[in-house]
Amino acid sequence: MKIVMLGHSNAGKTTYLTAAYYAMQHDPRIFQISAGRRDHRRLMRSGRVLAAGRGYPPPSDARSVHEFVASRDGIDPVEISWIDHRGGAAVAKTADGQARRLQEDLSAADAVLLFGDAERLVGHTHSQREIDTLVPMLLRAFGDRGGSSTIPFAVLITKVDALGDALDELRPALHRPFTALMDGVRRAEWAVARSFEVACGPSARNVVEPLLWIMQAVIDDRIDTHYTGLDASLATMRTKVAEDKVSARFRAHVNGVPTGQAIVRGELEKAIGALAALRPLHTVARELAAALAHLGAVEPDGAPEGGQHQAVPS
Amino acid sequence: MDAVARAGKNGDDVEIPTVKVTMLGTTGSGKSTFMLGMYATLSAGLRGYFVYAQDQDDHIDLTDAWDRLLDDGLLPPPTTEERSRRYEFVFTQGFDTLLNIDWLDYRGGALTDRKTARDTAELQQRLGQSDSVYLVLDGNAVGRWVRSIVEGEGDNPSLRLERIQRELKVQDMTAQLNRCVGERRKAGLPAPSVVALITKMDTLPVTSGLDRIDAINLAVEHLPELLPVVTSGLTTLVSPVQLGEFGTEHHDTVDTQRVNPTHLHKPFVFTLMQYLWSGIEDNETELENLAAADVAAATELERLRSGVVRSLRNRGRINSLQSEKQRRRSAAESRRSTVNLMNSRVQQLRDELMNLPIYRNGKLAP
Repeated sequence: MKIVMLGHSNAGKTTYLTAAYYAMQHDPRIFQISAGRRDHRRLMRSGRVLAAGRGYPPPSDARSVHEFVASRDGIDPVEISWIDHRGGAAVAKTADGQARRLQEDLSAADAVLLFGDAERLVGHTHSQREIDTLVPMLLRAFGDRGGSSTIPFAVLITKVDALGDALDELRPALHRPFTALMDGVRRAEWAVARSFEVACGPSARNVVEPLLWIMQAVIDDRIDTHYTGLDASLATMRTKVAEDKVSARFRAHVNGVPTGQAIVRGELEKAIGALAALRPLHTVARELAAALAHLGAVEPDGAPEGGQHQAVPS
Repeated sequence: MDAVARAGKNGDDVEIPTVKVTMLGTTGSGKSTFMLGMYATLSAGLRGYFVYAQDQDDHIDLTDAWDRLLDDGLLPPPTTEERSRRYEFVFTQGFDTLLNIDWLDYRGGALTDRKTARDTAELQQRLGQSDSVYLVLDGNAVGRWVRSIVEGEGDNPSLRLERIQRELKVQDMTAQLNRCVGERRKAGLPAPSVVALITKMDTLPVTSGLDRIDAINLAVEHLPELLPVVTSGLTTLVSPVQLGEFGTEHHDTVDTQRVNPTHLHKPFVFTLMQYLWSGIEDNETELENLAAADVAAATELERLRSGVVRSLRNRGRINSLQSEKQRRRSAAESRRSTVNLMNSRVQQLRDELMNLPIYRNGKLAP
C-alpha cells in the first residue's frame, strides 16, 4: 500500500514518519514494522534523538520512499511504500518535477496523511489559506475515484505539545481549517476520515494511532474481500448443486469441462480457505479496535468526539 | 453542453457535462477580479461544494494572485489580448464531479473591437457555444444610474438611460448575447442562462446615495430598462457581488483590511442550478415519452393477445413488446433516480440563491 504525506514545509511530515517508525519498534503489540537495514538504522538513530528531545530529523529536500513491511503471525504481510515529499512540492508549479510527482503519488495513494502545524494553525493569519491551497490537489487526485478499496484519509495536527494547557481552548481553531475538506471526504463512499492531534518527541502523543488506524482500514478491506469471495463461492455452489443432474454430468464429460461436483469441491476449498484467513484477520481487527478505542468516535467534521486524545507514551 | 465520460464508483461510465461560461463586460468592470475571488471562495469549499482548476499551474497562479491581494492589496491587472486565458474548472460536491466548467478570461475591449482582433473573433465564435453568459455591470455606474432615477436629474430620462447604457456597453453585450442565442438555436441547443453580475456592490450606496438594500432593490426593479434583454425570455439571475469595500476610486492597490468577498460564489451556484433544472426537465420529458410508449405498447399487446390463435401467431411480436417494456422500465428507473438526485441537489443549493432576483420568461420569478 502506498501512504502519501501532504503538507507544507515544516509541518512535521518527516518528523512524524521517523517518530511513527521508532514508536512502532517499541510497541509491537499488533504489528511488527520493519525496513531495509540502512533505512532502519537511520530512522532508529533519528527516532532516539527525537524521543530524547535532542533534535529533529532534517527536513526533506526531495521525494523519498521508505519501504516498510507490517507483519503479524497468521496474516499476509502488508507492504508499505511510505512517500515523503518536500513541503514546497505542494505549492510548486508542474515545471518543478517534484510537484508533478507529488500529484501522481496522490492519485495512486492508498492512504493519505494531511499535515497541519498546530502552532501555525492557531498563530498565523494565513493558516486557513495554506490548508485551502492543498485542497484542489486532493480533489484532483481523488475526484471520482473508482475501485472498491477504502482510502483512509488522516489529518495530523502536529506539534500540539507546543500549545500546552491552551490545547483544549484552541481545539476548535485547530480543526476549523480542515472542516470543509473533511466534510467532502466524509461524503465520499470510498474514504474514511479522521483527525489526530499529534506530538512527536519526549511528550509523544498519538504517534502510532494514525498508522494503526490506516492498518485498521487495510484489515477491514481484507475482511470485506474474503466475505465477498465467500459469498461468490456459496452462490456458485448453490447454482451447481441445483443444476447437478446426470445429463449435465454427461455433457461435462463429453465436452471435457469440470462437472458441477468438481466445481463445488473447488469452491468449497476456496470457502474453507477464506474462513481460515478470516479468523486471524478478525483477531487483528479486534485488537486494533481496542488499541484505538481511547480515540473515541469521530465528529462529522472528522475531529475526535469531545476532542479528548489520550497521551500514549512511545 | 459537451460531456465527457468518467469512471463512476462502480466502474460504470457517468457523463460529466461541460458548461462553457463567457463573461461580457467593459474593461475594468471587474471580470478577472470576480473570477479570482470566486475561485478563492469555492476552491476552499462551501457547504460541501468545491471548485478546482484541472491544471495545477492555473491553481498556483490564481492562489498566488489571491495571496498578492490579501497580503499586498494588489488587484489583478486587466486582461490583455496576450493574457487571455482559458481555465478548466471542475465543480464538485465533495469528491464527486458535478460539472466541468470551461472558462475564458477575455479582455474587456474584445467586446467592442473590430472582428480583426484575434481575441474578438475568438470571443464571437465562443459565444455561440456558451451555455451561460455573465453580463458584467460595474456597480459604480449602476449606482450613479440609480441616483439619477431617484433624483430625477434634469435631463431627459431616455438620454440619461442611453448615457449609462453606452458607458456599460449594454448594446454591445446585448448584440453578442443575441448572437449567442441565435447560434445556439440554429444548433438545436437551449438558450444560455444569463447572470447580470453587478460588481463592486460596495460602491452602490456611495454612488446612489441610498442604503445598500434600497440601491440593490431599485437597480433590480429598473434592470429591464437598463438591460432589456433580461425580459426577453432568458432565465437571468441578478447577482450583486463584491470583493471588498474599496470605495469608488479606481486604484491598482487596495487596503487589505477591506477585502471582504461577498456572494462571489452565487453566480456559479446559479449556473449549476440551471444545469440541474434543465436536466430535470429533460429527464421528466423523457419519462413522459417512456410512459406514453408504455401505454401504446399495452394497447398493442391487448390487441395481439385477444384470441388464442392470434396470440399464438403473434408470439414473436408479443415477446419483443414485453422485452421492450422491461427495457423501458429500467430506463425509467434510472431516469427517476437521476431526477431524485438532481432534485436533492437543487434543494441543497436553493438557500444559496434565496432572495436573489431571477427573471424567468420575462418576469421576476416569485
